[in-house]
Amino acid sequence: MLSLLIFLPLLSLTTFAVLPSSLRNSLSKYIAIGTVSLQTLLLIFLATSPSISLSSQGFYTLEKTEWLLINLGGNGYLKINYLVGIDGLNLWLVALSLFLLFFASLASWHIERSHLYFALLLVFDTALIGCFLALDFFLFFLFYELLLLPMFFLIGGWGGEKRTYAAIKFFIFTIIGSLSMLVAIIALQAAVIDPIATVLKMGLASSPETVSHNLIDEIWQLLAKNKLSHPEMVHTLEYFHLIEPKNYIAQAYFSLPSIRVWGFLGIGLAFAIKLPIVPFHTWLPDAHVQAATPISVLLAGILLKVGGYGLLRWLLPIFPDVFIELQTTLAILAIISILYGAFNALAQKDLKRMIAYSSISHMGLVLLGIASATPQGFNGAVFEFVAHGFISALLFLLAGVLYNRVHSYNMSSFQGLWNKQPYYTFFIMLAFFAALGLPGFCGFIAEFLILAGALSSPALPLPLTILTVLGIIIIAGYFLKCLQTMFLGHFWSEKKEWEEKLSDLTFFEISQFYPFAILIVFLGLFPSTLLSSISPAMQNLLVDLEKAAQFWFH
Amino acid sequence: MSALEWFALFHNIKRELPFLFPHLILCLGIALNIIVGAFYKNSAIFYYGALASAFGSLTSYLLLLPTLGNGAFSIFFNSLVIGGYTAIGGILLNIGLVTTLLFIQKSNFYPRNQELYLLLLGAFLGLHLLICANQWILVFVGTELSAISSYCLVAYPKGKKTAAEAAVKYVIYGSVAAGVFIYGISLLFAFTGNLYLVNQKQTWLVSSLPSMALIGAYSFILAGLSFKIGAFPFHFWIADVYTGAFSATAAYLATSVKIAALIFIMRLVASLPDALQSSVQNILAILAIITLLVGNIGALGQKNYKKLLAYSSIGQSGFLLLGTLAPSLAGVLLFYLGIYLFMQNGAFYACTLLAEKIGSEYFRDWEGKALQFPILSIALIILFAGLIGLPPTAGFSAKFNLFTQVYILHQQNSSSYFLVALAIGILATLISLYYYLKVPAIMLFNCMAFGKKATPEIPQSPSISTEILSFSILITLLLGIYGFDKLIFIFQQNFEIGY
Repeated sequence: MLSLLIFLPLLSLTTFAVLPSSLRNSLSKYIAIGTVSLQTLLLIFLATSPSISLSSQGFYTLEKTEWLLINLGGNGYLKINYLVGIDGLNLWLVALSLFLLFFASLASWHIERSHLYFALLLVFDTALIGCFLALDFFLFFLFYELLLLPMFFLIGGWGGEKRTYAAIKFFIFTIIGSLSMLVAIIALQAAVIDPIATVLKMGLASSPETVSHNLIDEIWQLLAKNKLSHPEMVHTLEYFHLIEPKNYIAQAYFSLPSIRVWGFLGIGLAFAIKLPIVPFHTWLPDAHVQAATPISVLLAGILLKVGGYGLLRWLLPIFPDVFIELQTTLAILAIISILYGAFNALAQKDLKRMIAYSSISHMGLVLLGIASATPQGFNGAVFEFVAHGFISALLFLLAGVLYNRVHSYNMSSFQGLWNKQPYYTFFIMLAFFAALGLPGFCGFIAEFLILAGALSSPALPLPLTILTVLGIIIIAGYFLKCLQTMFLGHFWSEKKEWEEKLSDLTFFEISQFYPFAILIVFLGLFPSTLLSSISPAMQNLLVDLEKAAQFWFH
Repeated sequence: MSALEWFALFHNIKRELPFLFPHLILCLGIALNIIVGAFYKNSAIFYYGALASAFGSLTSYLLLLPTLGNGAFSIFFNSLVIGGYTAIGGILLNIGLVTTLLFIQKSNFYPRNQELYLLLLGAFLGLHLLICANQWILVFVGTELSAISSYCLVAYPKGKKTAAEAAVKYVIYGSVAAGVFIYGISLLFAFTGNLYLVNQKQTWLVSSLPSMALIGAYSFILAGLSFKIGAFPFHFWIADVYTGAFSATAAYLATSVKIAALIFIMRLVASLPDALQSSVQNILAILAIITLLVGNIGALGQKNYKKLLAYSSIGQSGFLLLGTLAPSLAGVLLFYLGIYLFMQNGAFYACTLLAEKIGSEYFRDWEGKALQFPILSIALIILFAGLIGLPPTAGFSAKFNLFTQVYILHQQNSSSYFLVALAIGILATLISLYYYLKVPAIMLFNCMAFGKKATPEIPQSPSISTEILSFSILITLLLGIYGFDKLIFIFQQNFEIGY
């Protein structure tokens, strides 16, 4: 079921090859939309099936197949399984991905060379869902890298003036992170063993079901005493084995505290670039501004969340001890991101650039929530993934409306748009207020939870949280400033001919924006729809973190 | 010799002859080529003749494979060692030969006649000899047989000025490298008194010799071999020769020659006495590091597809040299060589076709051509992604395994050379990303100019034969996600049986 969810886009991609080239161009968008809708139905079917309880801790469902067994010479084996699973952490991210993919496809209805565009979008779809569902680090890395190529061509192929520069910058930044993660993965697999497979390899049991806890305990003791012989070890990169500190080989590099820090930084760099955390953010404004509107929606709405998801799913559980040591540092980085993004956004003259910088601030908030290591902070971070996904996507779509009409993002070229475009102004006000965290919208819930987490966390000093509040005030400042200059007052535009072009939203556009608006308000009023499944998963994660960190500190 | 000794000799030859069948079939192809060539001038028959001997040789290797699974055989007075790796190397070389033949046949601009096929068969015979030679004289014969044929192949066809220039450069560098190589061999002979690669006596002698002298001898030998694989310090010829020669020849030089030479280096490392192993490993690591940097940095600024592929193939040699660091890496090396054969040949082929159809070797003229040549562009993206090592291509699985093994090597003997080599390997991957992706980016991005109409679509000429491309892409994608673990394991085992 989960695999179908991942690979359905690739399946429908094969229909592209079968279609005659005359039909390919016109049918591709229907195929893409149909695929995403089918995936959405699959997800709904999965989430509502009676065997799944969304408020349960741990994983709702898992799929596992044996995949690769790499011989490491005298060093045993590296066993890589195809393991995918869904829990409270990734369920809503998958849902958000599908929602945004659907509306991004709608927004690119009249795109040029649509067969190529939608083919790339479908590859991106597979990589994205795979990335969220993968529970083997190797598999995750595969999907994570696969995200890059389609996005590279999507930014570079359909963007604005400087799209080539932006695409290459995006690619190089991300790949630097990926390569540092690759090094960490290689070192990680050398340090972790799969106790069950090792038992089987040693011939102590005949099938995985017969492996008792005593046997695994024995293996752990042998491992701790450094008595397990190398050729019998079965290394692994599976999530469940990586988060268990007893599986680490005592003399391996990634068991030494001084080197674990480097592992944390190596994997962390990849996610820090993706999230992005200042100072690794410089690809973001370029990529977001140069990309076409639907691609900006996907970039801001979901691609950034891959970074945050990676932190929660992989980095923290693998290196809980380093995380707890670096908690304050991470929080300081988060505050820098928030303030830096906010001040930059304040100085922008370009609407799309301002929205891009506001994403940096919001991702800083996510990092702050994660750094707090409290249930509220974690819940807030995951909630912010979804909230920011909706809000930033809506903002980019709305900016795209202006660009479609007059080919300009310049904020000082317009005044009093309220008079000409009441519907447009309504949606923009809604999105702005949601983004600056007005109560009643989903942004507020996320910010509230994150701040509550930051305040209650013992590792985060109070001045940091106060600075965050300052950042949030600046966020409110630039949104309101934009609202005032562009939308209020008497109508005025830089060029006379724009006056007719600045028509209000069409029905097609309104029908795209309403679902966003409804969801933003709905989640602001009833956050428990999401939180009821997020918080058990986060509770579980925190307990695991604490236990593992305890182990590492002793 | 008494009659009995003659009989025993004859009996031995009869027993050992089947192991030579792959070579003999190539020899037969050469002989027939010469004989038929005296009467007959139509090139098609020579093409099919060469193809037949390639497939014959391939089949006999496949038939040998079960026998070789039980162990290696040293034949003809220990001058040749036929083992599992020989069969794998031989199969790869024959696939390389078939690819080169197809490449030549499918390129419309390539003048074809009898000598071309003769030279190719001769060159491949030399390479086949190189991978199983166990005596330094035979090693030298193998390298020179392939080198002399390659000199002529580069100069082919007669009268083309750029080709002649390239060939002269190639000959000059080649002679210097051969001189260095044979100097190393003579030093080794002077120290140990025998010419065999694997020999008990040598092992015994080594302990009593000053190790610096032996390391010097091996350094000369490795330098000579670096000419073959286009690695530092003899990499200077690559860019000029590839540019001057025909693409098919360049692709042959970039793949098949490297395969043979690297398998030989692997055997050399495996046959070293323990006392020398770590020093030679360090030399190899240093060579690999410098090669990686030179090749990848050199490729950054190239504006011509042949130069780009030339420098990138130097860079790839660096990765492949990492695979020769220890016998435990043999499986990965053989796997890397196998997929490299397909990816590099495919990349050469796709680029050549594009250059031919666009009418320019320079990337600036390739701007925005992606929509005119969609198949070639997609092929180029996949093959280049493979050469970079992006998942889910076989290039990634090869590099992942290679880096993992080098890391394990570092863990085992904590030599900082290996760690540096690993770091430089990662850095080189990063650099290679830029120049490989530049090409599809130039072709794709500018045809989708924002708000502008693209260049009118020219109907694509139907004459692209996609055998090489589709096969390369299939291998690149398939082995990226499935089966590479087993393949590497089989290769590793076969290599270990050989030694």
